[in-house]
Amino acid sequence: MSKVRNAGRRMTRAIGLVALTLLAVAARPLRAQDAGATYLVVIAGVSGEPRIGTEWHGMAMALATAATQRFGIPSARVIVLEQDSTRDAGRVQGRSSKVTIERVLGGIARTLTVADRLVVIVLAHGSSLTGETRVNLPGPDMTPADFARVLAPATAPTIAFIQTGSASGEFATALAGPRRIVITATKSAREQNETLFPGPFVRALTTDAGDTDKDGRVSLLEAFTYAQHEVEQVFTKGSLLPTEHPLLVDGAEGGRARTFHLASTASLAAAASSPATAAALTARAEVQARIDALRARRSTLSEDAYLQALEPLIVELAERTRALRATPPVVKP
Amino acid sequence: MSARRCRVRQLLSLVCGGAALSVLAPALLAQAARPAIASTPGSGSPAALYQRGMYDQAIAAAEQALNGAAATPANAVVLVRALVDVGKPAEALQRAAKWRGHPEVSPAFARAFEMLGKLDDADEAWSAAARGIDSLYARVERLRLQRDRGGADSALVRMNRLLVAVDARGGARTASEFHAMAAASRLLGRLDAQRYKDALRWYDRALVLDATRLDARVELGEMFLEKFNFADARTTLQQILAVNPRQPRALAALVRLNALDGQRTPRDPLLQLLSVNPAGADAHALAARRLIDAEQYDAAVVEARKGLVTDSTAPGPWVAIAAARWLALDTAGHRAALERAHRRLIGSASAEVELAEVSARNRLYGDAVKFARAGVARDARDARAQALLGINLLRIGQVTTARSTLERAFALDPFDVWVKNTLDLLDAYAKARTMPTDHFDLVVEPGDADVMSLYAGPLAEEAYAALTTRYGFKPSERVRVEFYRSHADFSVRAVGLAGLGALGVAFGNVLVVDEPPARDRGEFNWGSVLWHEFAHTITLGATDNRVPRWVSEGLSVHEERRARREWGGGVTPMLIAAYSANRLQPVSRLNDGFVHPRYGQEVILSYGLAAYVFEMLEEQKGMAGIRALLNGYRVGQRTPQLMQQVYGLDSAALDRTFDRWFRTKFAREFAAVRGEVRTGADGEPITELAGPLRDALTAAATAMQQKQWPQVVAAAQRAVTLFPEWAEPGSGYHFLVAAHTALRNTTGARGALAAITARNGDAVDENITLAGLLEASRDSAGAIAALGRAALADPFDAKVQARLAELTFARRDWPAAIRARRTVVALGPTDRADALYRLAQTLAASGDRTAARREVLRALDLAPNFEAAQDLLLSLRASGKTP
Repeated sequence: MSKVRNAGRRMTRAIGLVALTLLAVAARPLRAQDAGATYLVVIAGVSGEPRIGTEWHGMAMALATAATQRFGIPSARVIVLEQDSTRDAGRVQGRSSKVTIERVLGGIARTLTVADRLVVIVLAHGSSLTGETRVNLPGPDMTPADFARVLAPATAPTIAFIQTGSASGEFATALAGPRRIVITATKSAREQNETLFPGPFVRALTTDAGDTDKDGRVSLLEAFTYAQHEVEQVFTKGSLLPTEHPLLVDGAEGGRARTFHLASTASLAAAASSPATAAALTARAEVQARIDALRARRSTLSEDAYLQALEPLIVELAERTRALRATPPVVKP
Repeated sequence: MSARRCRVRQLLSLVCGGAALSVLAPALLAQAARPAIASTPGSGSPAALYQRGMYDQAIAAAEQALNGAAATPANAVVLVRALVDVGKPAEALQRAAKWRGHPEVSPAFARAFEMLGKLDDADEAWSAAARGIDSLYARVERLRLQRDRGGADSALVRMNRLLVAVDARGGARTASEFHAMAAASRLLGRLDAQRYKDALRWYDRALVLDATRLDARVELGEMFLEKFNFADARTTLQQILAVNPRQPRALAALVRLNALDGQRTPRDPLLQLLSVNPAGADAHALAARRLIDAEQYDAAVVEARKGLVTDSTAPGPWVAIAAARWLALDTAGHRAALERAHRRLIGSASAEVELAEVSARNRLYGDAVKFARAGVARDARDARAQALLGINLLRIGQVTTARSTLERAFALDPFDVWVKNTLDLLDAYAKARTMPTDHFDLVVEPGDADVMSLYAGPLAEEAYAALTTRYGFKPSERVRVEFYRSHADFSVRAVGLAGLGALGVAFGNVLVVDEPPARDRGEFNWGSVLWHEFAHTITLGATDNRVPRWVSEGLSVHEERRARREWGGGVTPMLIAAYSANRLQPVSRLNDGFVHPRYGQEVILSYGLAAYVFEMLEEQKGMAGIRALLNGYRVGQRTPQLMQQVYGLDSAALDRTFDRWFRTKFAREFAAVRGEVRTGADGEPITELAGPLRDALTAAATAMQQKQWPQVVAAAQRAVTLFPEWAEPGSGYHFLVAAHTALRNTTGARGALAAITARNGDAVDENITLAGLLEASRDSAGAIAALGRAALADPFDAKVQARLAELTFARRDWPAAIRARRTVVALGPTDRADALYRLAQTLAASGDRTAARREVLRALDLAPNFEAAQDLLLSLRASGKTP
């Protein structure tokens, strides 16, 4: 298991340099599993004070809206659970109690196929006062082990689990595994202050703010890096001692998170189903591959030499992009 | 470094604690662990009277007892010790002559002989005392005396053997023995620094057994002071003075402590000390030191000589004379005095340590290095000499040598907080980036280097061009400017400890400055601080560092005000109030306002006043007069002589002339403000604002509480009419902004904000608000000017930079737009590709296609599919046209 820690901004940048773009992925012949379903479950716990409850509700709604409207996830696969299930009736599907969470996640986990993807985003305070990390929910709390047990049946599909609250670091250990992406707001259970992480993370996922590679979509790695940077800025600008250190664990040095977008893979399939678009995409992907090869040699070149070598490739890529624009419009998420 | 880290934990148990050491952890050994001084024996007894500092009564009571039925050694001890404390050792020896040789009285005799400089007799007395009940203590003191007389480390080796023997017989048992162990361990710290911890432990033990043992408590306080543990030193000294407010050694230590940490006590301990012992060598040496700091060198010599009446060989006064002579450029006199001091300070570096400290206090850092180096040559194991050498090497920019010297000092004494903090700082600052400009090396922490270089470089060069021209002087070397993101780090760099109130420090060609993030926004303007400090570089350099503090500070503030209207503070109600209440020194003694302030605000008010002195002098004879003044200082002339020579003004005339000029210049302000002096809760006089301005501000505040906005406007308008130049928070302009905003009168708010920002260089938020209002009224030039001021005061605000970039781009002000865009990139935005693209776009628009191409490629390197950037690149390649 490898980890992308906050101190590793340099590493995440390096990862970014060798990233495959969405379109490059889309240019590949779609395999059967690429057309799997994406599920989004948003869980907002006990807020403790109205301000936080309102913020979490706003974030949950923003995620739900983006899921259906930006990412093309059918509304039936978007589930929001909150402490007050009567709030925003119809958009909050249930109470975020342990029983409900276990029922919802357990149900999804048992039905997922290998091509499916499940994204769980938890907006909740965590604590570890008794030595055991807990997520504060209405009624009994849940531990990382509880979540691990509920999700255990889903061994093959990709699961992204994001706990944005305090004392969330333990989730990285408890939920890590093959085809798993775990993001936490803190690096350990000892960081127990209210976290800043959820605001920028949700903003990154639901707007264009997090699209730092300008490919038109936001990967989980981009959202994580964006939120991590925004959190760091708050502490640095205020000359404050950081009380949270976000963590990403995906078993691939951030590689899995880099290629994980919330956009439904079905929309990619639709885009590539146009022959002209597919051809243009393939051509672009080939240029992109050469850019990646150049990037792999970057440490051996001076910056001037690197940029000199990069320029013709970028020009070619730009020309391919212009050609792509001339083809029937790509279905953009 | 790791060894030092390891030592730090040990350090905590000895010398940490207090606000001054806030960068470290709190003390593990708190004062609470040390027993308070218990009630003294029989309140009317000679011993009790002595213990409470009632020396005359104690002497009389002891003498009466000795002449009557109570002719005991204890009463003889009181008689001798009381007479010694009041500076009459010869009389003590005479009046208690028949007790000479008595083991119990001999320690008191030994002190009397030492005070008289009769060291052979003192040795004999300690020897006699060693046969009494305080045998161990006497033997330690005898070895201490032998060490002071040149026995050097061999005496300490014997002292160590003595302690080993005590351990072998089961350790100390009595308060006297624990005191002896503590005193010995403190001295042995020179050979093994861990012994300082033993000393602390033994002092504690002695005080647990006998809380009335004031000598032990005094030594403990002195030890805290030696290690720069100001908080514990003050607590300990206060405990002593609460029992005996006239205890001479405690008063002397308090004088030193106040000089070091800048705190004041309601009564001046030096005056108290001199009243207790008018002939005391230490007291007069301390008084001479004060006069030296006030640049009254001849008076300092006279004062020091008074300390030689009892003992003409006393080293303290001779060192003070040597220092005064040195600063007065009397090299022969200096040498002669130093030679006299050395006769008593055999093999010791303490004279050189004192001379190095005096030199540094008088900004003669090169001289401080010279003296510290001489001290190290005399005694390489003197940790303080090594420390002063390292610290002053650092001040003159010799960082590498300074570090190795400080490492040596730390090895000798890991409990010197100053050294420890400075080494930690050097570790932390090792990764700082150095960015050269034509005349400066800007040293900045890596994360802030790119931002600071965009602003500090041009500003420093602007200051260089302006000030070298005005003063006709150029620094001999490149000027090193160190910027610190953390104010605590800045403070450690400046004075070794956290808690310094200053924003910048000039060591000549080395400047140390707070970065904008070091303080809350609106608290200061780093640019004005840089300008101020560089002005010191000029005035220090032009005078070979012999410029008096008030002149250097006054000129620096004067130059700030000349550089930007909103810099330098300007006239304030408190300045006028203090002046009108005679709470500021006259010009002829203004240096005292800096070096011996009588109340908390005097220093800062003296800055403001001194600047006006030079405004007046420049009006009179231009820069030629000021240059002549500085030339005079360089060759050793003093202020009275120079003012007479250059301006034809003796001290009284100078004071009168300035008073007339100042009152005329600010006639309106004097009419608006009075200063009323009353006694504060702590017994110190405080100046309060009175007069029409206060009435107007009070009316504005009252109306604002009731949200009666038209009344706020009326009262605030009166306030700004009465005192138009004052624009600090709380001014009439601030009330006007609040009221006009509430009334939605944007024109009024804009006017008030414009007035504030034109006068107050710290007003970042006001500039941002003003820029928004100006932009809304389509005054983009005004908005750019306001944002430019905000960006200069706080270059780290990405939103301000981005807005500034857009506005300047629209007005085709390419240099400003490019700088703002570069700053955005340097601030490390989350969306770096976008920031680079916008920079490239601006560069392309300015016609710099090569740079634009490079930046857009950097953007595309991060985001190859960034279509707008791709388009820009293709456009740049396609034709010579800008996009």
